[in-house]
Amino acid sequence: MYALLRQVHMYLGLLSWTFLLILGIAGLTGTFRYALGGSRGEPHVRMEACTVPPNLTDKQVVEHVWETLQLPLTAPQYMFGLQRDRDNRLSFTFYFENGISNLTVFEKENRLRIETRRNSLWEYLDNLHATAVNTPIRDWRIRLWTYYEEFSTWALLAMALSGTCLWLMSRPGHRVALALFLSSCTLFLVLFILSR
Amino acid sequence: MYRWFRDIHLFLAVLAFPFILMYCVSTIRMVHRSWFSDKIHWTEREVEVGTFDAESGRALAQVLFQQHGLRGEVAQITSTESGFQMAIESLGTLNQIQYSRQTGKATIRSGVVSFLQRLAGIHETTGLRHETNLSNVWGLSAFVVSIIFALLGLTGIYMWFHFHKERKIGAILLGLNLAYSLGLIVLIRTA
Repeated sequence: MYALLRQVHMYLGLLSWTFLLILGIAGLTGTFRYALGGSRGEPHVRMEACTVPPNLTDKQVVEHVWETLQLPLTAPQYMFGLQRDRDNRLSFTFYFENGISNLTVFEKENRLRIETRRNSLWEYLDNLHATAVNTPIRDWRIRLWTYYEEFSTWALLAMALSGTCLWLMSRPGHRVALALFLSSCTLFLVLFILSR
Repeated sequence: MYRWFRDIHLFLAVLAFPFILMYCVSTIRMVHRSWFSDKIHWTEREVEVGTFDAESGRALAQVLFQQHGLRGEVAQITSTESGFQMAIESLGTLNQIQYSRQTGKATIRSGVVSFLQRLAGIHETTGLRHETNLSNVWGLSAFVVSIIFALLGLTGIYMWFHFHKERKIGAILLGLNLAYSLGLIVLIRTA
């Protein structure tokens, strides 16, 4: 039983090893986000031709633009900041793993302004750790990634539980481990109760 | 050397155990929301606040903290025709506040989040620049656990490599993992 559990623990760890490291990077990125400052690079601006059919609602315009451009790794449902400026130009933002794209529609001129800012590698990995199977993005690369993340989350849970069993089966009387475990659980419970 | 790594792996894992469990359970809750029925129980009350004490949203928040027992971080303040509205949020409680200058009263709508919602809130608390010390402590724990994650991965790899009879199958599994995950990381980055 012990040997089997150890094997399962080890194999799950090897299969989700990259995800474990990404969790570490994501936590460090979250901690030092302010220190990292402007982690997005210089904006890249380009103009594209785009004819918007008349009598569309603003959300329909967004869908039309998205279908015209086919921006990778985005989805029309993942659009934020929809607004019109003083000149009645529609603008909105697509967030995606690699950065953000701010779009402005020049309906009369049949043109689109696309300003893209690319995330740093750390921000990118942080975004990737938060990209899960409930994302509306249908891109095949993102889909495959979310399957890996889903598997790794359950694998991590299984490793935490199997690891605890392995410890209790092999060295239940290890005082340092027991002291650390009890201290950590107590600290967590106290913090959780205080977080009302 | 192996024993040393095994002890380090064990110590780090037991130290991070409740936090790892929290991250896993809250991730499952965030990803599969339909599996859970998270209901917020709302209550409403009205409190008197002098107009002098509530010249701004921040000033009102201070009065609510000191005199009416509210806790948390001021999330958003927006002006309304008669005064302003704001949100004060802690990990376990959401407060929506409407203040009217004419009446000098603030309506506080408080909602207590469920156990799993609180876990999700803790999960998302990173960094050390929060308004409350408690959030900063959670942010600090996220930092420590992040380092532990990386160290568990590295010590785990060493321990696997130490088992000679597991090297072959382990190398295949690790190779599959690296090819799949790193391949996707590169493909998505270059999309």
